[in-house]
Amino acid sequence: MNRALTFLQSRAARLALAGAAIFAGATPAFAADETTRVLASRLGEVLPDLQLSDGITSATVGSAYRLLEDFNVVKLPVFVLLIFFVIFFFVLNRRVRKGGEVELRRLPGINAIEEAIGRATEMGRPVLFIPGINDIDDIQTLAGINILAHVAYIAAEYDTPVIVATRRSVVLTICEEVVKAASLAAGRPENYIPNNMRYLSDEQFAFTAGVNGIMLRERPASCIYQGCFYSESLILAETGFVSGAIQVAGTANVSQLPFFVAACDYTLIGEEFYAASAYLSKEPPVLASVKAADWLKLVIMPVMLIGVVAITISASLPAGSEWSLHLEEFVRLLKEIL
Amino acid sequence: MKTRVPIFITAFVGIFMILKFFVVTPWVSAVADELVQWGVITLAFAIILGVLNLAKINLKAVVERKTDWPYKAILLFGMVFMMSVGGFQWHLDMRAEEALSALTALEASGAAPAAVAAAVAASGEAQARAATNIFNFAFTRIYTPLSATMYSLLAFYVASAAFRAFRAKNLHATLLLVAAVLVMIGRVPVGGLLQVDLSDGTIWRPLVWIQDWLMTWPNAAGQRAIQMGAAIGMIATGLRVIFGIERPYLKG
Repeated sequence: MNRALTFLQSRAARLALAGAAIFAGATPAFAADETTRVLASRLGEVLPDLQLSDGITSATVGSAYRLLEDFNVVKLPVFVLLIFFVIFFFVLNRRVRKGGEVELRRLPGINAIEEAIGRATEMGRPVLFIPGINDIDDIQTLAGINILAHVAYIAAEYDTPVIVATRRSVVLTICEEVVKAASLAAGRPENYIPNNMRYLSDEQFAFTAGVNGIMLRERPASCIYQGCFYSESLILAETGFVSGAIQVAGTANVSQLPFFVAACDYTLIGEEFYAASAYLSKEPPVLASVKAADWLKLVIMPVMLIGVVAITISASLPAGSEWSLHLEEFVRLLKEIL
Repeated sequence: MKTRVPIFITAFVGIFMILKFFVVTPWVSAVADELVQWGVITLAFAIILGVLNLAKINLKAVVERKTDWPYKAILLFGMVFMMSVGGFQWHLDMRAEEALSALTALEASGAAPAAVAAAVAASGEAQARAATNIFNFAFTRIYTPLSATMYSLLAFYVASAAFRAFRAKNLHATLLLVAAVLVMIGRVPVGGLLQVDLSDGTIWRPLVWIQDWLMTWPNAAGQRAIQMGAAIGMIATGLRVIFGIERPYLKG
């Protein structure tokens, strides 16, 4: 135990020294090239007592660069943002657990899901849900399945069947379990119909053709697309439109968003799609994580704003002027850090 | 236990993936790569689940003569046919490979010319059989054209969706319509025909310039804003899954 503590202390001391060395040095360690890092590291070994600046020896700087050798320094800003996110999450989670309220903006797309299921109930037709076309290792598929849980729960309450069409067999298995559990939780286990859980094909357009067939033959009253979609997005959404279904889409694929916006009644755009499950579940830790993401944006936005203002002023000044060069250098450094 | 073990596995794998992203230490990369391999193998085996689901649902519909059962019969026939020709092709490839190995071994051992000639003939026959390749024929002559047909439907769907989206119902829709028309004209050859000769001798093409400006600045800014929001949302969702706060894979 003592040995572990000593190791951690020495590691912490080295990290603190590394930080001091980085901020005291003229070149930020994360901006230094590979040769500089190796040279600094070797210098620290050969001439450990060489004074580089006030109180900073070559051994300290060498130690800092050796630590950075294990770390992908290009990704340091992402790491820092991740740490910020985790801190924000813990702060907000504690606040929510103590009874504090986290307010989320109203998402029309989420409200439309309930509306769509209600319409299907009135018409006595099923709801078609597609959790994207990617496999379970895609975070968008997981987000889509989260929404499916809520859709299946509401549909079971209304006694409306849900058809789920998947392109991947693992996604099918998970969707089966999700719909089964949601139907059970809603007190209507009979609402889970195994034949409505369908794996169509691993091939993109064979899957698309299969879904189109379901839309045109079984005429679902509502089509809900939540997940990762590619070029099939418009084929699906337009067929859904032709079949007269109310359509709610959600994806983080920027290139497919215009198609969904043009062809569907409601679309969850990018971040809204990820926040949807939190909006629906209202569980404190999930709400806290959505709010933490908002706080993280508050950290990023001022830095972006400074960069935009700096580069705009630089562009407005006469080319080659001293201030223009200073500002350009500042923006270059900002880009390097971020 | 039923929930803790999957959550532990998810957290373990997820943390290693995060570590691999930030740390360049070889052992971390080695473990992370190994975990990815396990994932790939598991997912590959899961195709059996899909085949069983497809067979169960469609076979039942065919046997019970439900509505549209002929489509389901064609689907089942297609699946069985492709699996059969794929298996047969694999068998032919193996036979061709075996014949070639036997021929190489005979030549190396200095066998009698007659025996070598017989082996050459056998190998040639096996290669010719393998080259007939019914699987590839079915894939390139049936599946690929069908897939291309589905994809080409996009041309018509883009037109119908654009027709609805570009109706100038209000100010926003009108702006969208104007921007879309400018970009469309600026991107086709006819857009470059409108030219202005400037005093310094250069030629300015206003429509090309406008579409370029629209795509480079307002469009790129909007797309990046959505991408950044989505990236942060992705991080939040990923961490929720890794730390077991949200468990979509355990909802059963």
